[in-house]
This record gives sequence, structure tokens and C-alpha cells, in this order.
Amino acid sequence: MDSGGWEVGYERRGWNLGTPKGGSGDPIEGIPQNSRIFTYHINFKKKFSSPPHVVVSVSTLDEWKNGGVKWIVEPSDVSNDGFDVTIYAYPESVIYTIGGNWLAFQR
Amino acid sequence: MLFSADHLLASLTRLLSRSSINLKTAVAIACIWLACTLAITGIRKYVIEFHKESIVIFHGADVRDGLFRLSEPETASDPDKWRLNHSPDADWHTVANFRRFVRHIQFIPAFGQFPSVMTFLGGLVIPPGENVRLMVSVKNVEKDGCEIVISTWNASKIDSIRVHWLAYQTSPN
Repeated sequence: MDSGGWEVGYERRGWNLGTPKGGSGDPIEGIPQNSRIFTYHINFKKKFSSPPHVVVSVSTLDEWKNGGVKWIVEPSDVSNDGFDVTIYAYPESVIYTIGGNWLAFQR
Repeated sequence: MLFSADHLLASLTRLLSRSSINLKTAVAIACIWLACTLAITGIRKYVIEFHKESIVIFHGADVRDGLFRLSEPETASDPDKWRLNHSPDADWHTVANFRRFVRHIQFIPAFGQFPSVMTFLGGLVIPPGENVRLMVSVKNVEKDGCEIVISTWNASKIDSIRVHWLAYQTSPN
């Protein structure tokens, strides 16, 4: 098992979630096609023998309320060595900082 | 221990039988060997203790997890409909505006003992201009299921939420 924290925001190079894209995303149908995406890679402390199961949560959020609070966070590209935290921000949302925790384990 | 006491004695005897090594040298070598063995044993014990939590938790544990997304359309055919995206019925500043939605989770098959359950917030959609008031909690944990409660209050509205849950039992049945 491995776990840790993550946090990304406007101070990070390439941060693209701090400016609204214009338009609006469908709040219902999962991840909108026109959402902005930011990925952040995390390496496991110790290599797993096979890609583990990963859960990501959000516990820190700084977001402009006039754009609405609209995001989805998922683990992606899970390998033996690490994974990406992928943040989908709806077009009208403005995220300054977002962070949380992650947990990786093998059954 | 890396070597047995018999092995140590035999080594010492061999060393002493050689004319080039006197008793002082043999004792010095034995002391160095003992010190190294103790140091290695101590370091190994420390490393295991230090990483105890990450080694023990979930190692051989019964772990279940799931993900659900709640919104009004997605609960349209459910007995319990998502209504947290609507304005409260009562005045916004009253306690009566504490609104909640309960999602029943079933563990199939049931755990042998009462599991621990954690929730992870994975997505949130709240209309522009609204203040965010949100509480996600776990209630009524049983061997065969639990309830995950999504709450908001005052004038806040939640269009949609995505919650990942994880239930685990570390001790055997």
C-alpha cells in the first residue's frame, strides 16, 4: 500500500485552470467534452509488482464562486511506478488551487 | 542472527590455531563481528517498525470499493430522488434547511466483521455564485452495508457530486 498528498495551482507551470474557457459544460453528463484538463504525475515510493488500484480525493479547494464550483478528479495512466492525477475543470470554472490525498493498494 | 554460536566457536578455534593470530586479535575480530551483527539486526528491526503501517494495512485485507455520481437526472428512476440542487423550502437561514441525501451501499458478500468505511470526494458541480456548503459522512455501518450521507444547508445548492467509497476489514473473520 502507498499513499500521499497532492496539491496543484496557479503557481505551477502550465496551470491552465485559472482562466475560464468560455461557454458552459453540461453539469450532468460526466466529463464535458470542452473541459480543461490538467495532469500531475505522482511516483510511488516503492514500485508495485503490478498496477495497483488507486483512489484520489479532494480536501483542499480554492475556486472562484462566480464561475461555479465544477470539477472532477480521477487517477489515470496507473502503472507499477506511479500514476497521473487528472483534473477536469468545466469551461466556466476558475480554480486557483486544488489538492487532496491518494491511496494505492493491491487487493 | 547471521551465524550460530557453534559457528563462532569453530571460527575462533581455527583462528587461534594459526600462529600468526594471537588471542588479542581473535577477540578484536570477534567483537567487530558481534558489533556488526547487532547493528544489522537493529537496523532491520528499525526499518520494519518504521514502515509498519504501510506494510500491515491492507496486506491481506478484504477491501471493497465503489464510485457513484448523484444528480437529479441520474436519480430520476430511484426511490430516493436527488433534490439538493433545488432551493430550500423554508427560509434559507433556518436550521430546517439542513437537507441531505442518503445513498445505501450494499456489501456483497457481507464482511465477516464490521468494516471501516472511507469516502473520497472526486467531483463537484455547484452553480455559479452559490456558496459551498457540503458534508459527506458515513452512517450505520453494518457487515452487509452502510449509508453515505451527502448534506448541505442554508441556501446552497449542489447540482452533482461524485463520491468514491472504500470499505475494508483488516482482521480475519
